[in-house]
Amino acid sequence: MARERKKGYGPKKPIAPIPRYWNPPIVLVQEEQRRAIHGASLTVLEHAGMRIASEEAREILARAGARVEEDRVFFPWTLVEGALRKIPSVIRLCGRTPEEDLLLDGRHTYMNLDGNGMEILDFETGVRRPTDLADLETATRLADYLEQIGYVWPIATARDCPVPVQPLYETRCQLRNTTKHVMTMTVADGFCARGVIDMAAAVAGGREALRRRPLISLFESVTSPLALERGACEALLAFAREGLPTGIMTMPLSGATAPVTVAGNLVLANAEVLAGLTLVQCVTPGCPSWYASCSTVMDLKSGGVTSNGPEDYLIQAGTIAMARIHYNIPVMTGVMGTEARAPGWQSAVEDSLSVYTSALCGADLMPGAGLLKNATVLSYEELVLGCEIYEMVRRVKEGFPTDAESLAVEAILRVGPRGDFMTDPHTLEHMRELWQPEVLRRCSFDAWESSGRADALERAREKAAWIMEHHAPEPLSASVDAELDRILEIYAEEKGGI
Amino acid sequence: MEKHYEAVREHVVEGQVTQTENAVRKALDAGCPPEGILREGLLAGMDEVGALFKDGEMFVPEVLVSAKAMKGGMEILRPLLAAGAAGQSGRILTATVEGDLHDIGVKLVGMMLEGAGFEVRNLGVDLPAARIVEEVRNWRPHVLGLSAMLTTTMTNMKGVVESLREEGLAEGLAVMVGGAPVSKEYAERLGVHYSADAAEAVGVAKVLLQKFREGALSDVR
Ligand code: B12
Repeated sequence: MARERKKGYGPKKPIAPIPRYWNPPIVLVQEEQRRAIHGASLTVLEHAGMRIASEEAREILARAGARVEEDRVFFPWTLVEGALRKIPSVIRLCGRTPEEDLLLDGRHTYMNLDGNGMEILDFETGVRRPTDLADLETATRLADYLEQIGYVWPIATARDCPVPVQPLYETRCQLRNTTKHVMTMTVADGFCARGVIDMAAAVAGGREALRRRPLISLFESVTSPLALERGACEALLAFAREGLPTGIMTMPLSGATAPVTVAGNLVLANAEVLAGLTLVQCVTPGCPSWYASCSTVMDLKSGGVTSNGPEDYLIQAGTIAMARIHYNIPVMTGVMGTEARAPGWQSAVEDSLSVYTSALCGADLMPGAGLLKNATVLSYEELVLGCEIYEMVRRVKEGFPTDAESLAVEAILRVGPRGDFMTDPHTLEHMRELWQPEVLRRCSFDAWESSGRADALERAREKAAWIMEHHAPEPLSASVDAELDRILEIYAEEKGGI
Repeated sequence: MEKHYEAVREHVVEGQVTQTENAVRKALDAGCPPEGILREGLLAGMDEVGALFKDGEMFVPEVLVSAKAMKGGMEILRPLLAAGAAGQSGRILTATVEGDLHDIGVKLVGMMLEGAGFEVRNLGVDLPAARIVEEVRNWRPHVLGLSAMLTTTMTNMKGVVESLREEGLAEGLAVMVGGAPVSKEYAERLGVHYSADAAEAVGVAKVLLQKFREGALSDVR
């Protein structure tokens, strides 16, 4: 076979995370601790309850047995535990084609294109500027190519599009520019929720087809402490009624909107997510849903969010332990989102440790790669670097086989004392199983100096540029494409024809 | 007198609310002038807190409890302060604009401002321009602080500023904006003031109040 010299990075590859040799997740939070957190959360839900700012949602919960006083809903233990039992422990989030489906079964860990950046470090000039729809398109195309990205969030806000329907512009853009699963995270009311369902149904070939192959999903955020506001409730109801995947996200800040201790943060977050999931399960029992947390800690020196640090990682471990081990339901934990303002040592440390923790503890979904400064500033270099980190962690999570061939006794006997394995058939047979860096650099000092000290950052830049130039996502059919435009027009019309 | 001021200062730095109030009352009973207690006691205490915060010796929650102590003492002094000195503790109204539910940042800013001696009222979140304008009309703050954390809601700041101008309420009112998507340039375009964080907001508010006092900005009262 003639060998071809490798040019560029080659065609798009399938989404990466196939678990080959199953290793049970690392358990950082023990059974006794999990029970304590669960009990404490139920106590909170029973005695403090939650502010649920939608009458419709309150009625649904009241009918299911919750006690309602004005906008407060108090949850009996039995109601919550009953709802938990209805949540499927394995769900599927679909791509445009089955090859790009995501299986949330506690074994796979998918990372996504993060969201929802406000600014971008311009790829040409490096200058920070507001994002627009074109940035979202570019980023989505990169994500479509990158095998480490399993699904997408709107990473760049379409700030040049009219506000009330901005989420619809963003969703249309992502449905067009990737065949991967689209998870909306800027939809924050019933109106836009209905809009994105219509769009996804157009792509899937109708409502029923969409239910069977949900190529879109939604989560809504709790306003910590203990409130689910009206827009969030409406959007949740719209998705849950269709039986589409509906997540409940919480992001309490230790010391600001949550107790300052790791356990206290977990108790509050757990109570909030359980309340939201209970609502979803009351609407449609068995509705595919997931437990999501982007909990973090208030920076004691500025009052801002840390997004990273040992407590953040413990909270991630605790969240996954509660969801995947204690309740056995799909779980999403926020990773990366470095506080750093440019890719470098700090971003590498923060991004790596968070991904390592969440992936090895067993998160199903990890948002996500590509944003700097606490998930507000998009950088394509940061995105590619994040994929490299994920790839390394994924290889670790994958584990290693211990069959006879891998144990390599034969090869060891063959080589004997003081020989070498460099040209042994076993080496040639298996060497390509070793991970190869794509952007990390391994080279001599001299080579580094003569290349102008280019390191991972430059290589990430090169790769991003290559993808932009060479990769075009699979387009939608002309009729579906036109249908998306039509739907957007109808919704824009409803908001006064913008 | 210095002994009384020192006690007030100490309790403020330690973040002891009741003790601060008691120390203020004691100082008044001992005949200390309210202006003196404010300057040499409460404000001097908060200056010390500010310095310790800058050095990383004190953390945000501790600063906020000190601010509460300061506020407690201030409430006792306010009715006793001469009109001029009261001006020094101007009124600040804060609000998160329509469509936006984020309020951690604006609450933090509010508490820090209270710590600097300002009288602060926070209106809450998701507030239509009309509501904010109405509250400005009723309460006549020196400064209006607007917060937005979303790119989509930040544009609502413009509506508030325009309504204030239309309603003739912009005279004698300084507007200050903040939040993650808001920038200095955006603030300049609106013709208002900007600060990136709570500490900066206190500095900006102090400058604005100083200008009011010097008549560089006209106080509507
Ligand atoms: C906590 C949080 C929430 C909480 C808010 C709870 C609450 N009570 O406030 C919840 C979960 C409800 C929430 C909801 C949403 N959020 Co939110 N949220 C955040 C988060 C993580 C932290 C914000 C925060 O509190 N920071 C801590 C405080 C202390 O800092 P700060 O707010 O920046 O305030 C400082 C300065 O900005 C300034 N300042 C602020 N206000 C003012 C006012 C004045 C007068 C002055 C002078 C200064 C000033 O001083 C403050 C103190 O130093 C940010 C991420 C981030 N990196 O900021 C996202 C973020 C702001 N949210 C975002 C989004 C998208 C949403 C949602 C639309 C959807 C979602 N999926 O959750 C909804 C929208 C709800 C709504 N209608 O408002 C995006 C915004 C993107 C964009 N394009 O605008 C962000 C950036 C996250 C992200 N990367 O996607 N969110």
